[in-house]
Amino acid sequence: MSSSETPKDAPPPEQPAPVESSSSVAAADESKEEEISFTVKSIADNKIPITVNRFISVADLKQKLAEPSSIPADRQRLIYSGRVLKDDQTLDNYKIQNGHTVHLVKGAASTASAARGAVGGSSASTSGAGAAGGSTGTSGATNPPQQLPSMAAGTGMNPLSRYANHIPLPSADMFGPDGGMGPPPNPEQMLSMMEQPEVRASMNALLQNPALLESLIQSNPMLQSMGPEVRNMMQSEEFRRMMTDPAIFRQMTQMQRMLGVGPFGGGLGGAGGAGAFPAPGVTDQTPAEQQNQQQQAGNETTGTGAAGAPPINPFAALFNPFGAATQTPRAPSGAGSPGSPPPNPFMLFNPAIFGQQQPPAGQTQTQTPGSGGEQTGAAPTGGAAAGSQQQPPNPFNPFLPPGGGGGAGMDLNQLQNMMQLLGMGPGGAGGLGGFGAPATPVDNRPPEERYAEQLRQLNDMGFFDFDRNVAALRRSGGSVQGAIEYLLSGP
Amino acid sequence: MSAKVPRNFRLLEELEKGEKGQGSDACSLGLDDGNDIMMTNWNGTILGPPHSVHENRIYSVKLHCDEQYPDVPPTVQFLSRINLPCVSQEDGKVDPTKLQCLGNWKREYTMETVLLELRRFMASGNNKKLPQPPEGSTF
Repeated sequence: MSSSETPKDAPPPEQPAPVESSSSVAAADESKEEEISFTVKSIADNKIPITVNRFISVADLKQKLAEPSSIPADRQRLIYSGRVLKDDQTLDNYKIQNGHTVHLVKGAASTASAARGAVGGSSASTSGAGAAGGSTGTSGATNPPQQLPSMAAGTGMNPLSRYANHIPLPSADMFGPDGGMGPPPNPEQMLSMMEQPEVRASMNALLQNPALLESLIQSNPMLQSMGPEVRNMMQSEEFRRMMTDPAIFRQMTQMQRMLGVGPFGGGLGGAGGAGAFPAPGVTDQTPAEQQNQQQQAGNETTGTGAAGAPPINPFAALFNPFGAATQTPRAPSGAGSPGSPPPNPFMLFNPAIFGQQQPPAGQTQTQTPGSGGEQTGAAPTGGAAAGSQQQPPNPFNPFLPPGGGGGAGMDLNQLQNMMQLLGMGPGGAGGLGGFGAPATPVDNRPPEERYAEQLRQLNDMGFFDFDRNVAALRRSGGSVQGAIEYLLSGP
Repeated sequence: MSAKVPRNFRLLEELEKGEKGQGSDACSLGLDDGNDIMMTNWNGTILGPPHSVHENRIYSVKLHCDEQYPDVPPTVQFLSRINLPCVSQEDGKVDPTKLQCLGNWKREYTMETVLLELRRFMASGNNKKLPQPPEGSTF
């Protein structure tokens, strides 16, 4: 503060002299060992560790902080334990202790701050002028507060603006019209973006920032209405991981599509969604009267669920019920998908594609998954077909004629053609090779393990001959549908 | 929540969070009297939310946690003058029926919750445009 007014309201140790010498001849005399170390948390998560004498005044502390925080002393607001620190008090008055944290925010260099600080009695206007005139060479002196553009004054408070210079901020449209919580505008784009480590890192940083979360919540009525819990949720580790892990993101997109809420999934109506998405508990509901073999298969299912699943389905590792749910629809729908690698998001389209592909099986290979999905969206009936097509694996309906549901008109040759096109070889090597799915390493697992899920389903449907089942699955590249066709047409 | 956290444990937790700055940057919280073993009276500050009339302002509030806290919400009183529908213009008291998180208090809520909710309230709808008394004035 200014040298003209400090003496009258400052405690004795405070020196009116310039900062360099202020901290402080007199104070040092009184108590040399009364040093405290604490953290000053500034904007942009800038943490400034500082060690000072506990008897220096708040004003002195601000002078010390001016440089590391690059906020002129007269614009600093220090907050500790729910109190705004007043310039004329010592740190000791506020009982700041080792290891504690003082918040530093940037306020407008207005007279109001001086008014708040000036308990000592000088009127707001004079102390404001005094501060501006007498401050020790900081920019405040040359910059009358009134002329500061309001934007500049605001920068200290806008949690987004602090990132403007530090990290490449994702463009606004990435967050979507509703503040980022809805389905992303374009999942593929989003995915490729999230593969980049920088983007992930900055997302992480953003999500770690409570202030930003705050403004996110504020800007989104949906979140607002969820009340305070949403804040906890968004601050949790888990949530951050979900937001930033591309694999998880992919899974989420997949699930969205399965449920028919994805961007392209409009056509997969409620019925379709439900059909393609058996209840999570399904795996546990094996009828007791099934044979031992079935039991064995069931056990193996859980085995792969635990060991084999993580690479295939990250969700399974995280949330078991989800894992079960996503596994189940995947296996039947994905021609040759069991061995196919997770990085192929296109496989996720399978339920939809399936519906589209049946009639012209031969041409499907050239069809891009995106267009497949879109077509489904455009033609709701296709979606419905895809949905009912998924019925056979449903254990409650074990004796449904194979290909029954929607696939009435399907003929075996077509289907096998398609199977071959989609899922080649025992490894089910990444099907849909037409658009460059990454090559899968050869799957060396024994068939009962590799096809555990499919075997279980076949068992559910009443096909108990293990060897034949395996043979059929081999032929079909792991597709239950194809295997059934094969089994029924019986060589 | 399986076990009920007793009042003093809860308050100690909140105190530490406030002093060490582990909570939100948008608000701050601390004991009014560090020697008060009952930890009844608290001070809080709320940084005015950006893009509102409250931007760049710092609001001071008092929170009072009686013996039944956290089974009942704390009473909250603004020290800084503020024009807000849930705040009495006479004494700065926050009307619990007008602030959702106080009206529907849950045991898991903390004083920080209240401060952040107040801040959110300031930024919502019309509240961010309400004319405000001069900065620094108090009740």
